[in-house]
Amino acid sequence: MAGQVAFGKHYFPREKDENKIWRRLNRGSHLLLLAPRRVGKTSLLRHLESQPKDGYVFLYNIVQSCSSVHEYYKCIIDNLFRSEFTNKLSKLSQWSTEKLNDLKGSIKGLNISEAGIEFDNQEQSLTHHDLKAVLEKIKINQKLIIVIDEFPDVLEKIHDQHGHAAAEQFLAGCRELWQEPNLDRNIQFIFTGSIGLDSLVNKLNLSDLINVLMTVTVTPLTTEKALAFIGFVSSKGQENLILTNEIKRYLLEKVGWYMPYYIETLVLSVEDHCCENDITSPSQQDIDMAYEQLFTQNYLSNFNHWAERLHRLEKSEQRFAYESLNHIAEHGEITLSDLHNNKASPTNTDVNTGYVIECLKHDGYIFENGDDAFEFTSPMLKEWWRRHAAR
Amino acid sequence: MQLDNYKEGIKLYNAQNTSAHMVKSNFVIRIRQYKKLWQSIKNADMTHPEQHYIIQGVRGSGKTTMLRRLAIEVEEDQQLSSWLIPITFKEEEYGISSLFTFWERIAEELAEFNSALFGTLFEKVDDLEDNEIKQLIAVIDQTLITHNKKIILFIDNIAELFEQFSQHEGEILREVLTTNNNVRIFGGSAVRLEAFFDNTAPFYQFFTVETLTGLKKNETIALLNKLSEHAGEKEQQTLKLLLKNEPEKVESIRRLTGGIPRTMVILFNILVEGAKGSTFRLLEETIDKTTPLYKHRMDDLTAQQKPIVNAIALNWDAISVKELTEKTRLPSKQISAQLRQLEKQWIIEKTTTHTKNHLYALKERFFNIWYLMRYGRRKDRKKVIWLTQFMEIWCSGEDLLKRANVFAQQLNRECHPHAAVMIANAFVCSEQLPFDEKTKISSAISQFLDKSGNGNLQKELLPIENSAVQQDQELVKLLKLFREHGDKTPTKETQELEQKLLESSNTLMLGCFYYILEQFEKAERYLKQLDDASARFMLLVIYSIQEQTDQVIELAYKCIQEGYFEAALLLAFAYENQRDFSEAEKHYLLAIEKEVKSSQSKLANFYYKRNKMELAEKYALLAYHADEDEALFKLLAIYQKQSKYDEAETLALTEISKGNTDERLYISLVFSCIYQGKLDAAESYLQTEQLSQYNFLAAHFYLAKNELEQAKTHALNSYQQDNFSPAHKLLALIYTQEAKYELAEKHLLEVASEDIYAQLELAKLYVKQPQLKPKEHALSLIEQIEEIPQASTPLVIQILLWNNQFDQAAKKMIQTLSIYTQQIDDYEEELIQLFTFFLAKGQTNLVCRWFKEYDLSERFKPLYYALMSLMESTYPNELLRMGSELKETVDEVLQHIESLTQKYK
Repeated sequence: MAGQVAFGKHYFPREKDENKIWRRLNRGSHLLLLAPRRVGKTSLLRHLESQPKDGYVFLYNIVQSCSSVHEYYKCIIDNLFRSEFTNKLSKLSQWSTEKLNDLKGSIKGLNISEAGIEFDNQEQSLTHHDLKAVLEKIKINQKLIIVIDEFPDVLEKIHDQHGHAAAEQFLAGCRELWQEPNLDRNIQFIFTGSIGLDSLVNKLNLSDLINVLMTVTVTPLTTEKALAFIGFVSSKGQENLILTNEIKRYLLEKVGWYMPYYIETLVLSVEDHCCENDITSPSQQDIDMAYEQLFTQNYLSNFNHWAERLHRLEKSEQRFAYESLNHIAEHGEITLSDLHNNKASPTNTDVNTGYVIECLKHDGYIFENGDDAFEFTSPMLKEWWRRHAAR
Repeated sequence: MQLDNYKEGIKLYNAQNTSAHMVKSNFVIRIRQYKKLWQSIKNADMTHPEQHYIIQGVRGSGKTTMLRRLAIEVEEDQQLSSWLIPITFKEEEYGISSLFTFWERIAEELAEFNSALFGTLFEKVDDLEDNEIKQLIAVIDQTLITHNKKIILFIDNIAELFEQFSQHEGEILREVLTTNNNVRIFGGSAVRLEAFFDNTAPFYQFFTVETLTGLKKNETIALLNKLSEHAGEKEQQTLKLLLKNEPEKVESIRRLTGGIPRTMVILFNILVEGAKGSTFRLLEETIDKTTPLYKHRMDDLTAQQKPIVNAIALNWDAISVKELTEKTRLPSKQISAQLRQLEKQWIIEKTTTHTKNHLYALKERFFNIWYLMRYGRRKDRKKVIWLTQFMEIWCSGEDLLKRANVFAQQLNRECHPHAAVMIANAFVCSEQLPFDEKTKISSAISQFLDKSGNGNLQKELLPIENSAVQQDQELVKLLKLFREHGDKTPTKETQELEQKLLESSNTLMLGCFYYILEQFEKAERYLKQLDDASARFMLLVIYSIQEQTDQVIELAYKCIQEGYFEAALLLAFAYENQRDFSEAEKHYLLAIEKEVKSSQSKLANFYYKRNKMELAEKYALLAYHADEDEALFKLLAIYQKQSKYDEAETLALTEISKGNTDERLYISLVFSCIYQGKLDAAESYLQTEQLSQYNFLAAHFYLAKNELEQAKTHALNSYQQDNFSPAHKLLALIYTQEAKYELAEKHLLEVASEDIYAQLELAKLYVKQPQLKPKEHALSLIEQIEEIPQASTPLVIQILLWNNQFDQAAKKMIQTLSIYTQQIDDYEEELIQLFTFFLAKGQTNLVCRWFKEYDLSERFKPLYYALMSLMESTYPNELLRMGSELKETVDEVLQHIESLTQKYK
């Protein structure tokens, strides 16, 4: 969804992806949810959290601000001890106050107040062992699913600030938790984030440490779902637009890649356009104009993250990414031979081009079109790139 | 936008301190956005983290008012206010330097809001250390949960606030925004949000950005209407009349201000104050009133930023770092760093380019105008004025000359002297005003300033031109070139030349220059000063043209003596005017003796008028054989007059046999016969193949024969059957006007094959009404014409383009351009039409080349930017230089081009 994570009535059900996750959870796997930015990972996970299947209970953690192992585990343990979660536990398993206190006492030297956990000794540093100790005490009939959002950010920060060994140690600690037989039956993790953990660990040469995780991806909506989504989004507006099926299809044609965020972005633009011009039943031309509007100054923030994503890459990697995307914008696709040719260019000799292409794929810029070539995932993205980024 | 009662003074800068009632009752624009935002508050129960909003827009666009309006509504909504606490952060919220102090302030506000509920919260918060930010948030959150309350924060200048936060704090904030359902944020920002749209502030995506753009035309009028309501009946009436009679004034300023409501309010203030004068005067006053706002903006700049902003502002158009380096003499690295900052502050707008050389311009056009007016050197001021002027011409379609005249005439004591100087300068800078007009304005403004006791403003007046002095030789060359083209209308080139001449003080050249330009009064002034044969002759010509016969007679003899024998002819004219026919005759004969051009036919004419037909015939015949202009028809007339119908007939036939198709010959021929009484001959001529189409003449013939029925039949036939062009063309014209295109076509079709003018008319009809016939018809019509009159060249080019014959069209255009650009003022409309047509047919590269070759981008600025818009991929940088006030005009041009594209597929 555009902007905030979509909750409750704002959440558009994506049964296919939901079921895919449930199937994997049922198998007892720890999951790595891979999907480009803005496809609705967080909304999907929070929906699972609020509407869990019987026998499951979720704990959602966003760990982006954590830049050390201690902060990471403190964040999770904080959330575990928050009344919001403990109340849930009590309700589910009729825990007594004693039992709760027992849980809260699972780590020595630690106090719990309104403001979260506090330490007797300020030097105390939390590790995976502490989390393990807490989790071991959570004996409930349900499976606890611990969702860790923006996990790759933490890994990257630890790597950048504390070195490769620290990152390796951190991941090893995580893996210990995943593989801990005592926890295995009751606790499962879902890791996700807007950076692809797979490409990050590849780059850091730490892939083997995450091979336990089962990858699951978020897929675009089917045409039928996408049509329903348009209705869902436009019904939220005040504008009472009449969108015929034909117009909806035309709109989808423009979007090309049926990710809710992009559909909604265009729908909102259509609403703005129609409202400005007193139109209740937009025509194809109106859709065109709304589409055009997306590329004007006031709407560009819808796309800015696409440019920002590339900032994460090294300068030379960025240049290669730009070259490739510009080529696609200009020619509609980049063939493998074109790519190869670009790679062979003297300016790209030191570039980990494979990583760049992986990133572009993961981040949802491009996809392989089955014709030995890459295209932009969405005509909208292509258009934005052509007009604003390829400069 | 909040509007206050005019009579109480408009509180422009403190929407936050205005009473709730005033805010509500004056909230007349941005209604849709308000409703949308309000619904999103009203309909949210905040059981989950809700959507956060940022309202962004330049200063004065109404952000604060919008936030204030929403806060008031939350406060007054009984249902909402039972659980939702609005907390407003003031526009100038000092003391918040970190995320911790931000939350601390929230705790403070809560305590202030309800000390019973939140008094202890503040004490708890007080105990926390600065680094215990997460704890602080948790405490506030818990307290809110305990009391079943939630908060909605209205934060003005939110970007500046967030900028205070470190990356780590930003990440924490993001976590809160994503997971906390007790806090909701509505921010306002005059800073481009992209400023913190990077990895250092990972919370941006949780905001929906609502942009307050410039007001549209109808919103502007709505705003002004509301304002006039406040101002009272008199002002309502004034406004009504103004909107009715001079809407372009409002429109012009709306474009110039970028449609910013606050500026609109000021504008209205000026309107109701009864400010007189043109838009410029309103603008001038607006600028004075806006000064506090912009002064504040300038004062906010650091010492390093000021010279950069200065250079950008004075440049008006977008500028690169490289150019800035040259202008400011600051290292480019430093400039780049400052530019990034200025961009965040929304003072400048970066437009990215293909290269690393991005372009920078002042974000708010009105700020730029203000800056130029306040700090601009004369040279730079010109640019803004020129642009405004161009807009005025484009928008209102009013004649610039008329405006200039009115301006010069209406300068009186009631005028605002500074505004008057501004406008005078604008006119003086206009390339479309003749030199004379500018001189008039210059002297009018000069007088006005002296009379009104504003002589000190004289120095603010721009010189009419200001070029370097050139060498005489070069001037001669230019003058010669100029003379060859025979241009009589002032153009940019002629004005430059004039300036050079004025500076060189070359009296002869100046006299000559004005003589060629037919500015005789001035020419005379210079020529009189000289003791020079050519000067005298030019003076003589001037006297002659002005029918100053005495002066002619006085001067001509000397000219003749000095070998200017044309003077003899002029002397003859003068004597003829004075009815001294013998002297006239004498000098005609002298002219003939000296072989002065056309002197024989002139003498023939002289005798003809004197009814000396024999002599007239003699000299007409001589003239005819000497191939003098119009000698043939003079001779025919003389024959007719002498009733020498035979000779007339023979002469006409001879000419016809030579292929001369001039209608007058046929008319003369038939009339000759008719008047000879040779009706049979006339009839036979009428029946010949060549003349059979002259049913019109036949009608005359039968009229002469008094056979009225026949005449009538022939008259009918003349256009119904006999292809007599004038009849058909006339009919076609009538039908065209009646939109009976098929009938018009029918008549023109009948004559088209015979009459190139009819053919051209038909072709024109096909171009204007492309539905009539496929484009090939128009093309085949013009292809049949061997020699197309020059006046029809634009038509031909259009037809060629329509038929995708680009090479030919371009070839013709190149020829045409070399002519038209010499007299650009005469052909402005044609040129715009032609360029537009080329663009409609996708020929951007050609048009671009011509614009460069003839340096037309300034002259046809909207068209130029339309072109750049079409060529954005090739010249992305150029379009970016376009001032936003041109946008609508350019869009109109683009729309027109698009409509032509569709029409002439």
